[in-house]
Order: sequence, then C-alpha cells, then structure tokens
Amino acid sequence: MPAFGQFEPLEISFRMETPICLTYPFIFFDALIAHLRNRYVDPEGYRALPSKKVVKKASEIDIPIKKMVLPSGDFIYHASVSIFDFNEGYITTIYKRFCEKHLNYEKIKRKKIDRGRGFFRDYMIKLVYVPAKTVTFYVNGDVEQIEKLLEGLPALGKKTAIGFGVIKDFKIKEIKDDRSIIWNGKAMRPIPMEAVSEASEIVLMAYKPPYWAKENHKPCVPPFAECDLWKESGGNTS
Amino acid sequence: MERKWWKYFLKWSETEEFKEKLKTSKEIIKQALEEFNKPYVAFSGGKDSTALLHLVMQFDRSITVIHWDYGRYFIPRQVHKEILKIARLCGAENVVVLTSRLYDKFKENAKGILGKCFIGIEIPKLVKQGYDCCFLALRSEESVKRRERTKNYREFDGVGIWNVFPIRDWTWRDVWAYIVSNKIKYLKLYDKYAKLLGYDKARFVTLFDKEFSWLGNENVDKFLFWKLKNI
Repeated sequence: MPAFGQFEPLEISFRMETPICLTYPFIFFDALIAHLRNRYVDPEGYRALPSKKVVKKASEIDIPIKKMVLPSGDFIYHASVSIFDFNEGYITTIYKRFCEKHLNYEKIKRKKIDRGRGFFRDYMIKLVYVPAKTVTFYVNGDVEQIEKLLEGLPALGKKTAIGFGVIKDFKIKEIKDDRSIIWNGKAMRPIPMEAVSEASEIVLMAYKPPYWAKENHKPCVPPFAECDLWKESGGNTS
Repeated sequence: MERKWWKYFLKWSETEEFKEKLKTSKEIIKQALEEFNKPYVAFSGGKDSTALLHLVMQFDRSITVIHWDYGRYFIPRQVHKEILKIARLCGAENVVVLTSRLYDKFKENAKGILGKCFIGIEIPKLVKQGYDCCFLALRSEESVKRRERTKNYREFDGVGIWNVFPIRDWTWRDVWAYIVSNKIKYLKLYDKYAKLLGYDKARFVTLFDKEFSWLGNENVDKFLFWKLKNI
C-alpha cells in the first residue's frame, strides 16, 4: 500500500502553450492522475494493457486523491473536471495517411497498399479544440504526490503527439474550502444520483476512472449542474 | 438561430435566384403528383427533408411520409420525438415509421442496416403496396456522386419506384432561406452544429455513428451531444 501524506483541498492550474484537443467536453482530473500513477507504477506493462477491457489491477490502483464513499459502498474521487478560461470549441481537420517511405514491398509480398479502404485507409478526421490559456482543476489530495506525478505530464487532451495541449507550466495552490465535488451549489464532477438529494439534471455518464468503461456508468448529476449532496463523506485516506 | 443568420436567410429568400428555384421545385412536385398514382415522401428529419416535406405538404397533406428510424443508439429518443413532431408541424397527416430489430441487436456497432433492411426489404414491400414515386431531398451541392445521380431530377430505382429530386438545385442557403421564410420548425441540434461548423456544413443523419468515424463526425457528436449518448 503506498503511504500517501495528508489530503488537502487544492487548486491546480495549468498554463497552456497550444489549444487543447477534445472528444468530450471535460478532462477528468482523477482519470489524469490514475493514468500517470499507472504509468509510474508499471511503465512497461501499462502500455501493453488492453484498451477495451478493464484490467482490475490497473483500475483499482491507489491514487493520491481523497475518496468519497457512496451509500452503495462505491466511491468517487474528490477531483473536479477541467475548467477552461475559454469555453468555445473550434473545428480543425487532420489527415491521417499511410506513409510508404520505409515500406519494404518485397517483404510484405504486396504490389500495392490500398489506401482507400481496409486497414491502411486514409482518414480525414474532424477534431474539436478549445483554445484555452489556462485549465483549472480542484482536487483534495496529497500535494507532494500529485506534484511528482504531474511533472511527468507534457500535455493535456487528445492528439498531443501532433502538438495539441502542450503545457507551459502548472501551479498548485492550497485553498481553504474543498471545491472538488460541489462548489456554490453546482456539481464540479459527475456525482451518482445515490449521493444527491436534489438535482437540476440527470445524465447517464461515467463517475470514476476508467471513464470509457461501460461498467462505470450510472445516472449522474453532470458537471456544473445544480445539486445538493445527501451528506458529505469524511473520505478515507487509502 | 442567431439573429444575424436569421436576417441573412430571410434576405436570401427575397432574391430572384431563390424564387426561381422554388418555382422550379414546385413545378417538379406538381408534375410528379399528376404523373404518379401513389407517391410518398422520404423524411429523415434533417434540414433538407424538412424543407422538402413542407413543400410537398402544400400540395397534398394526405401523402404518406416515410421515416426510417436508425434506433436509439444513433437517434436518441428525444431527437426521434422531435423529428416526428417536426413532421406533424409540417402538415404531415400520415407518417409511417419503419425500423429494424438489428439496431437493437448490434447496438452502437450496427453498420449498413439501411441498405440491407430499408432498401433490400422495405422498398420492395412498398412497391407491392402500390407506391410508385418517392420524393427525396438529395441536392447536387452535397457531393459529386449526388450531382451525377440527380442530374435528370428523377431516377428509376430498379425495383418499381421513381425517385424524384425536387430540391436538386438548391444550395444550403436556399434550404435555410425556405425554412426561415416559412417559419418551419427544425431540429434544435442544427444550431449547436452551426456554432461549431457553420450553417453551410451543419449536416445531420445520425449521431455517434461509427460508420462515419473516418470523417470525425463521431468526435464532434461526442463533444456537442455528450448528454444524449446512449450506453
């Protein structure tokens, strides 16, 4: 079991160098930390994990963020979704083409690569990007561990290999009140309905990492919708 | 719709160019209605078919309107309800919704079912029921393939139905001009698309469709309509 220090409410802000490419309107901070922690714990094995199946070992890894236990025994992390200083999206198009430069036709025993269909087909993909200058997250966690993990993060969002979402620097500030789950009567992250007494909206969405997994979907209060918690858990420090 | 766009389309509807195209479309519809015994309108819920449906309903409200339902994974139920409401508001009295069980079977991985089930099974059934003409809202501006396909304003489908393309020459401006000038209700999601893509590129057939993921439409849908995604 990793020994995490004391959990404190934090405000983490990233200054961005390039626009952030997204296929979903939010970046989940707990998912980001879970990704970094998995990469830290098992750098080689992490890359070999299947992308469409939840691996228990990887999904249950401890991350330095406080948990809020739900009435069902399940939990959510004290970590907000991304808050961009600029909220409008724009469209760009990228072209994914098969590169024949280093191809040995004799070895693959083919005269021609069909780029119109099949495995090697070309793609013209529309992507949404948000040209935000700063991205802020609220979290309740171990400042030292989080800082250590974030140091190995070069970029945020999708398509970072072609220059999207490059981080200039980041700042971690300790704050007095915990804004990671609810702030000013608004949900700061997806909160399952079992934890709330009132909600202005309900959406079927994931509430804990991995966010792509179907088993992690429940009716939730979506981020930035008005809601009230039944009672706030003290959280555990595991 | 933003006021500036609304004003722009309204102004466009006053141009001679638009009026001329509208006149031609009405003539094509009138001629087809005289010529064929039992026509129907194919209605997807998109802007083009909404404009066409409204146009056809000016002549005869009892014409059958056929809507192909792509299932809850590609057309969230609230969007489906809105589509049927639009059809009724356009004046359609006889709306027939056709679908396939395969959409529920294959869920979000369903592919090519329109071709297999609608074109392969339902159209021959429609021919048996006596339908001989289909009003389709294909426009030449959309693609080279459509320009070629619609060049004679009609085509025989080989089964027994003549497809008629009354708005073949319309541009995106003409479609929106017709919608705005006639105060027709259109799908709300167009305004969201338009904010990101512009009214010229805002197109709707299905949502979250992997069949079109190579164009990146899935990325845009997930970003804009994340609340509608059916798991």
